[in-house]
Amino acid sequence: MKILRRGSSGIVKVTRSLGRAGYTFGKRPELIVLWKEIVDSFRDRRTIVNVLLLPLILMPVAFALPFFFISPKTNPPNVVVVVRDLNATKLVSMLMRDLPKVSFEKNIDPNKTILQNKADLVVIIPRGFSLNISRGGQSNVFYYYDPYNMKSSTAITMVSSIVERYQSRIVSDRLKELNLTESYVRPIKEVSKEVVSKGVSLASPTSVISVMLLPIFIGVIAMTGASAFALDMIAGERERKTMEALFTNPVSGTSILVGKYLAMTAIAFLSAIVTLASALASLLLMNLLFTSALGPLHRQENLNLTIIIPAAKALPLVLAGIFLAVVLAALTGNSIIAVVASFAKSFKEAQQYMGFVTMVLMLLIVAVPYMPPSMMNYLACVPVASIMVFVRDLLVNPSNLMPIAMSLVFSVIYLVMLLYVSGKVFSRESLISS
Amino acid sequence: MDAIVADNLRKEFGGVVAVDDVSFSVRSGVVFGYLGPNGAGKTTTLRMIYGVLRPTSGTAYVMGHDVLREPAQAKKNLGVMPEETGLYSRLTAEENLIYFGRLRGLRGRELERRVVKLLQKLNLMEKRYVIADKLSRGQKQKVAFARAILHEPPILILDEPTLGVDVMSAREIRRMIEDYAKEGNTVVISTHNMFEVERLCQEVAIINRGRIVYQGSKDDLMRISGEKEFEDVFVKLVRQEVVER
Repeated sequence: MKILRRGSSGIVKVTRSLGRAGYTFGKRPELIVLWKEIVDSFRDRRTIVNVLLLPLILMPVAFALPFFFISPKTNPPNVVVVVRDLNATKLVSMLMRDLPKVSFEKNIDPNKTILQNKADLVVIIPRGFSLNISRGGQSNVFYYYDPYNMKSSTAITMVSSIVERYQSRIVSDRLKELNLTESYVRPIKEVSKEVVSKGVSLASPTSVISVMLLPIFIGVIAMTGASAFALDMIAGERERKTMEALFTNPVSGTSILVGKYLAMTAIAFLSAIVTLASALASLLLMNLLFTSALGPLHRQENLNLTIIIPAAKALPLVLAGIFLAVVLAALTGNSIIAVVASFAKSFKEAQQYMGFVTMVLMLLIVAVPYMPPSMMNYLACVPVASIMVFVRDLLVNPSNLMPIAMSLVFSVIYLVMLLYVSGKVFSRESLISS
Repeated sequence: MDAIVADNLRKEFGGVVAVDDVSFSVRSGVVFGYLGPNGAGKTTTLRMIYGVLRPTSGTAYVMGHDVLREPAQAKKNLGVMPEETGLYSRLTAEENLIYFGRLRGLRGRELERRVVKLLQKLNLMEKRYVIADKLSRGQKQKVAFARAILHEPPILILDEPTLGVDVMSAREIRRMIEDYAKEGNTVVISTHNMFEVERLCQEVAIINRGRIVYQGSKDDLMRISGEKEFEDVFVKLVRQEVVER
């Protein structure tokens, strides 16, 4: 047996049982083609890297890094306070107590300090600050900041809230002296109420992000996650001249194409599931570590699914819908790729065509989260975008079935059309003869 | 019944005639050489017969089955080794055979028995678990040959079966062809190798510029031409020096 195994490479040894499963796997030709394509794809190291390793590494990094850098908890902004009024002790002590990273200076050049990145924010408390206030007048506090530095903005938000609290105390004291209440100077109180559909929990930072990003992930990963293999399964097979031998078998072109679709969809599905699982785990982790980074949206929550899927009460429906959307997106994307690959004379040419096609797909995918809700009915009728609208509606409004059904019906109609076209293109004899 | 009948097969590619109303028949149980210079239309004719190209006009019959009307029935009677081996480079020798065996309706122990038997016969057992990409040209050709006869078809079509193959592998393939024909099967070979024609074929058809210029017994052709070497006969025919049968 040792002799027989000589020459096998590592990945062949690991996947040998998968290869031998071919003796018995499935009876229909579509399933036999599926088996072959799966073995073939998993022998390709790109599959392991693209489908498994990249999502597992990239997602946590993609989610955590921005939050790590803007979160005052993990990476607080550096605030320098220039105190030119030694009597401003109350404000100084509040700043000292509530800012995580603050230093006090008597006299520095604020412009130079910001431009040389020595601080994210310079706060100047000018001379006469306390005297003006004690006389019932108004004093300035100066902020010097870098408009292109996100941490500068975070620092202003943090310092402003402290100054606002200090100001409220002063106003309250002044009103007391005049025997007036706060409503006298603040006659209007703003009260905001979040409006969400029945069964949908109120927005948390992560749920807002997931409603924005989940449709994009499903679109991008499910549609293009298997693109390299999908191109290889058709354009690559044509280039390597394996298509001719394949078509000498008494099996229809449709069965071969269906088998290839099953394989592409399985790989795209695996890629999407690994990416989604990795993204959701990253969101959960991010929620745990950095939620206060998002200021007003911050809400202390338990670690449960509502922080990611707001319509958690309709969870089975939402999850079934996401599953369906992944399959729809994978089949739609792969049928587009199959058409492109059938036209191309080589794998390289197919890749070049795909560059343009991917750009168009991205535009349609990214349009959905950025368009106003009033546009969703129109986008539901647009190919590819209809799948993204379907996911979005499922997440934010699962009780309103009419728009969900509309985007689903349009998605299925476009898919059937694409499958028909790809079947026609795939059966062209130029796939073999040229 | 004739194993193969080509009935006025014609193929045009964008107005260029590659095969021009070709007709011939192959009797069951013979080794039939389909010969011609490069670009004569050999591969295009064979592709129409084994059902991967659709004729512009005319048709072909395989064991009485019209390749246009009953393509699956026609293909079931054929084993094909195209000009390019068409092996999947990331699949092992065994997996390449499993794939085509399964598409031909074989499975389980019966398929494994046939795979092992053929690998042993072609001295490829050591390469059973080696991916096709790592096989030599001769070994690839032998695996492609095994793939063509795995389902034991009554008709075998071989397009340049020993092209670019080392002497030892070419001998093995020729021996296998002879053995296969001895079992009563029909073999159609397209080749440039005149030694192979002399050694293996009983009947030949010669195509030049898309048209058949001779079809019949190899021995008759030798007799008519008066040549001693088949290669000289072939050259004469292609130069249209021998016109009549």
